[in-house]
Order: sequence, then C-alpha cells, then structure tokens
Amino acid sequence: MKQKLALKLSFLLLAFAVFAGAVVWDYTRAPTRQLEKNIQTAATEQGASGRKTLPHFSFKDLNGKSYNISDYTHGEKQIFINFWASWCAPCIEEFPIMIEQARKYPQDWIILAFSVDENPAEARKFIQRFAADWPQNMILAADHDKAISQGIFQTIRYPESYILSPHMTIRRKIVGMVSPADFE
Amino acid sequence: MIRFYVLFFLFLTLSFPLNARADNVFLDKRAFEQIPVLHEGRVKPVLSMARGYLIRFSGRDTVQDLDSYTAQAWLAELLFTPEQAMFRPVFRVSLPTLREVLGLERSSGHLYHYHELQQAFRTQSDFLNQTLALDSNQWSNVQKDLIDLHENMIVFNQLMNSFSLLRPLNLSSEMIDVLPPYAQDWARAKGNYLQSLIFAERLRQQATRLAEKTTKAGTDLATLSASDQAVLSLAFMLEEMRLHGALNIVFRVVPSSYSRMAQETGQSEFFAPWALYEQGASGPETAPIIAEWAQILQAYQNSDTEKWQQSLAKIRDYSIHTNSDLMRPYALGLEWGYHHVKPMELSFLFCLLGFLSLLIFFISGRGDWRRVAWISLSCAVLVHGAALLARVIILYRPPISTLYESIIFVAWVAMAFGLLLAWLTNRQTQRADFAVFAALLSGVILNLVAFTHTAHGETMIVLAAVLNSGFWLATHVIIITIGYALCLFAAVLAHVQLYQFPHPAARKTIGLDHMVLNTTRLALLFVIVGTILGGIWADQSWGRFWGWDPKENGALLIALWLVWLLHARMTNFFADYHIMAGLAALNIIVALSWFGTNLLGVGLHSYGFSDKTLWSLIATTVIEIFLIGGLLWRIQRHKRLII
Repeated sequence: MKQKLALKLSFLLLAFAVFAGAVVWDYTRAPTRQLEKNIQTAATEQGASGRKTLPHFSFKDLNGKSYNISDYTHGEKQIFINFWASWCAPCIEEFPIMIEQARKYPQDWIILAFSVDENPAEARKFIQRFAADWPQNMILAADHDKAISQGIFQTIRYPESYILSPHMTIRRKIVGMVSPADFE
Repeated sequence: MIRFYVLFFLFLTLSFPLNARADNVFLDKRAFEQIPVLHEGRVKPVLSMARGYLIRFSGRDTVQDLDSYTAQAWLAELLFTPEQAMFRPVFRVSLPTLREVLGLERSSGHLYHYHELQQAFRTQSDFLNQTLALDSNQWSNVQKDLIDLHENMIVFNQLMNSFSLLRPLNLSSEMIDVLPPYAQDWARAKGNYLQSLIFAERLRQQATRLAEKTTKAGTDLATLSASDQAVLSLAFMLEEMRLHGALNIVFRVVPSSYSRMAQETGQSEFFAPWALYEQGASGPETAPIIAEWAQILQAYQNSDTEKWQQSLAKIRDYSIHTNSDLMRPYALGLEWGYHHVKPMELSFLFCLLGFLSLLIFFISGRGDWRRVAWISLSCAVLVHGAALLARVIILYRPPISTLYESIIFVAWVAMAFGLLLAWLTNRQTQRADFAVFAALLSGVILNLVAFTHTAHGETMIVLAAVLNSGFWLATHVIIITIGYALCLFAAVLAHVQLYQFPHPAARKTIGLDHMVLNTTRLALLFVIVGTILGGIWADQSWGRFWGWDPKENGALLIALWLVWLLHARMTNFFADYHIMAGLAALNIIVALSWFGTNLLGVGLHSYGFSDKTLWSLIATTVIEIFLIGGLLWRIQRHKRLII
C-alpha cells in the first residue's frame, strides 16, 4: 500500500517537474530561435574584437597640421583625449592641470586636447590667453565639425576626457573637469 | 469524456486567435517585444513594460479605439509616432467629480487622450498647484486621483519624447529658406537634435545677440527680419527639446559602461537615450546602439519591415551581451512567454471548469463530469505550479514577496494539497470528491482575489532589499504561507462538513471529519514552525525574537485558534458541529491575519492602507458570519437527524 502511494506521489512530482522543465525550456528557447538568424548576422557585422577598441582616425591641430592617431599607438604612452571649448568655464580651469601633468609625466602620457569650437579663431584666442606655453607631449587639436568628439566619442557636454591604452582601448572616461589624480 | 476535453482545448486554442488584436502596424511585434529595458529596477522585455504602463493608465492591456491595439503596439506608436499616440484614449478618469473638475465630457469607458487632458490641465492649473502645495495626507479622493493622473501624464510625456533627439525636425520650407547657411543643409536633410549640435553653439550665440539687441531697443520680435525670427525660433525649439530631454529617464534601453558607477563597479548601466548624453554615459560603445535606434525610428515611420527587424535584432544582441548582473537572457525569454501564455488566467479557467463540472456531477451523478473535474484540477495545479516556478526564475527571488505572490502561492498549495489528498484516498469515494471540490473552490476564489491585488496591473514588482534576501525570511514566509493555505483548505472542508451534517448520507462520509482534522493538525504544524522561523529571522534582522507586531500577533492568533479547537475536540468540550463551525471561521481569522494586519498601518509588516482591501475584508467577514450562522441554524433545525 505504502509502495503504491509512493509510486503515485513520485509520478505526480515527476509529471510536474517534466512539465515545468518543458515550459521553461520552450519559453527561453522561443525568442532565441525567432531572432537567431538576425542576431548571428549582427554578431558577424560587429566582429569578434572587443567593442571598446576604437577605430583609427586622423585630425588636424589648431595650425592645420595633420596627424593620425596611429602615430601614438606603437609606444608605451597612454593617450589622454580631452574635448574642450572656448566658451566652457570648467575648461579654463582644467587646462593648466593638463599642461602641468603633461610636463610632469612626459614619458607616460600623450595628451590630445580637441577644441570643439565652430570658429577656430575662438579656440586660438583661448590658447593665447590660458595656455600660451604647452609641452611637446600635448597636441592642441581641432574638431570644428565635431566628427571626432560627437561622431566617434559621442560627447556633447564639455569638458569630457578619455584615457586610452596605447592599443586604442578605452581605460576610463572622465565626465567634467580632470584632476591631477586622473594622471596617476 | 475525452471528446469533451478535445472540444475544450479546441475552444481554448481557437479563443487565442480571436483575442489577437488588429494592430494597425506592419511590424513584427515579437522583435520589438523582446528588447530588454531596465524598468523599476529590473531588466525586462519591452512587452512587460508596455503592459504595465497601459494597465496603469487605462486599467486594461489593450487600447480600445477604432482599432484594437495591443500594449506593445501602443508603446511602439508612442515612442516612434507620438503625434498619433497622443490622440489614443488611454487615460481612465473614473471619478465623476474629477471629470467635472477637469471639464471632461462623457466618454466611452471614461477614457481620454493625452491631448484633451493636457488642455484640461491648462485650464485647471490653479487647482493642481493648490493640491501640490498641500501635504499628501490632506488630499481628498479627487485630489489623489488628480495627482495620479498628472503623474501618469508625465510618464506618458517622457515616453513620448524618449527618442525626440533622433526624430527628424520637420521645419516649414519658408523657415528653411531664411535660416543661416550653417543650419540650412541640416534642415533640408531633415536633421535631428543630435545632428543640430554641430552648429548649436553658433546658433545659440546668434540668438542671444538678437534677443539682447531686441530687448535693449525695446522692439517687438515681430519687427525682426524673417531670417532673425527663424534663428530665434530654431534656437528656442532646440533649447526646449534639450530642457525636456534633460529630465527624460523612463525608457532605459541603452546599456553603457561609461557612467561613473559603471566604471566603478564594472557593471554596465542602462540609460534612456537623452539621459545617456545628459549624464555623460555616452561613448564609442553606445554610438552603434543609438544609430540602430535611429534606424528603428525611421523603419517604423516608413513601414520598412526588413530594416525594422534587422535593427531590433542588433539592439537585442548588444543588450543581451551587456556585462550586467541584471541581464539574464533566459529570464527575459521566460517573462516574454509568461505574458503571452497568461498562466494565471489559464489556471483560473481550469479551476472554474473543474468546479462547474463537479457541481454538475453532484447534481447529475454522471461519472464523466467527475473525471473532467479531476483532469481540470490536475491541469490547474500543473499550469499554476509552472507559473510559480517561472516567476522564481524571472524575479530571481523566493516565490512569496508581495501580497499578490502570497495569494497565488496559497492558491497553488490549496489546489495541490487537495489533489494530493484526493489522489491518496480512494478516488471513488465522496471524500475524494469533496477534497477536489475544496481545492477547486479555493483555486477559483483565490485566483479571483489575486486578480484584484496586482500593483497597477503589474505583478512582478521589485522589492526593497530587506524583503529580497535572507534564507530565514524565505523559509519563514513559505512555511507560514503553506500554513495559511492549509487553514483555508481546512475551512472550506469544514463548510462542506457543516453542510453535510443534517443529511443522513453524512454518515457515509464520516471520513471527511478526519480529513478536516488532519488538515488542521498539519496547518497547525506549519503555522507554528513558520512563526518560530519568523522569530529567528526577526532576531537576526531587527534584534528581537518577538515584538508583538500585528502580523506576529495574527500568526499567534491562528495558532491559538487551532490549538483551542483541537483541544476542545480531544476533550469533547464542544459538539462536533461547533468545532467544524470554528474551523470554518478559520477563513475569517486567516483573512484578518493575512490582510487585516496590513490595514492597521502600524508595525513592521504594514504595507499601507487600502480602501479596497478594507471593504473586501469586511464583506468576507460578514458573508462568512452569515454563512456559518446559517449552516449552524440549519443543523439546529435538523438536530434530531444528527443524533
């Protein structure tokens, strides 16, 4: 009698477990199956590399000289990218910090400070006033059409900065003013 | 019988396509429904969010208009073509006084669209401001509903503007012709807000100069040239969009690893598109996601099915590969399936079918109907149990954490216990039939109660951390809730026993008495163990084992009630039917302990006062008192038969 009861109970539990398992399996599988093909296409387009690896890009400094980011990706130096504008108050305050840090760590950092001013004259005026003397490992670049700041880095508020490894992967993003601690 | 069940399932299968909504859109809804979105602290499929909001606004999960729209189709329209969505009647204003205050005319189902409510609020802004100035405790019912409606409209507005930064600005050709050259190409190409940022600073400076000049000269803006007016209009338009956008945080579909918190924790955060930029969480990684959302927006507006599906698939792929503990793709799929299958409604239907079949069997005596009832109960137990399991996986927490969850858990325990009891006894006896009857009746009533205890239609809410963790909490709640379920089951059986007393046939079903008492003993065991475990958890969390909290007193009351009746039975202190009446009254005791203690508004188990619960509790108590009183009166009348 007891065996019969145990059998009945086991059957009930087994039936429940099988049903619940089937439901779980089917529900989780359904959407994947539906979009599997499209997702595979998307994954292929995206590529196997990490998403944080940046594309190489070229740019000009405020005097019109051309550069390519790949010029800085072979050494040991970390790349510090800063986006600033002449009308941005915190940018005035952070510029001396960047200059000071660039001087302090010439072997460790290359600083690319991109002006997003639509009018290059405004940017030059700013430099004359607040950063007339800048070190060799700092490049004052121009991004008048925001192709780099907005197009690649999605920056629309200033100042914003990125710390990149020599292999063009993003190590950190800094929103707002930088501090000396960011370079340590 | 088999033929009957085939017909029933055929009916169920056919009823689903009948329910299908005539969504007036080309799109593949499944692709959109499955997009992960962070909402109320949990990553869920868009379908869940859409249903939650539509039920919260309108009290139903479809839009009843010229076409019948599903929640997901409504949300797609609201996000991508808000100019149409704002004319869909989705806001329920059920209070007649509030309709009067807002000057709203009669409308079908008391449903109104955003545009007309916006107009109404403009005329009644003083009343709204006066209400907002008051403390919320002082609000009348009208003011409470007014604030709820206003909050719902704010959410609607946020959803409506979620993608305004990507939506092309349709400027008039007259305006475009007189815009400065730097803005003209953008305007002709139907550029959006994000693209306008390339010249935003120049436009802002020009507009500021114009405004200062006009103010200084004291001239009217109308006297400015058409070109200057166009500059001011465009600058104002873009600034207004920015100000609106700065507060837009509801539709959080963009995962980002660039926010401060994400960088500190190594876990991606989800942002609404506007917030992504405003809070500095955008970055190279989010660029393709935003680009895909722009494609989706365009595809929706141009009815481009291929682009729609491709872009949604890419978005889903990006999202499900996000490095976040909140992202669990299998749970997303399960939740999507849960909403489509609606297992709780299915469980209720099975219970109802079984209950009616059993009633027919009792009246007609035909064995086929009994089998239908048994199979229905088995199906209900399986579907309901699978739903509970699915909820555990989806919510990633023990099955009982809210009032709603405790109700559906109690329903399942009562049904499963009834089925087990019937299975373990001789199936051909009336005793087994009454166990099935009690299980089905508990299933019907508790499922109905559960439907009325959802939070704005949302059944999967996220809890405060204190309720979401702790081994002792989980075990205590589960065990005490099983105790509640067994008490309710015993109470239903006790009603049946009371009904049976006057009949001579009752002698044949003497076993029922043992069934009630054994269930009661088991209930007592669970209530006592559950209460002790609760004490252990309370000691760990609050530093005391027992604090005379209303909920603790409630559990103690149940235990004392059961001990009292069981001792009375052992000592023959009361007549059997009095003991059965006491056990039938367990329904009242459990309801007071389960729901009533929450109404007191004091103690650590207080979940807030609700008028609806208060009236339901009063109604339950009154009905039970009359029912048990009536059954006792009936027994008194037939006392000789019992003796």
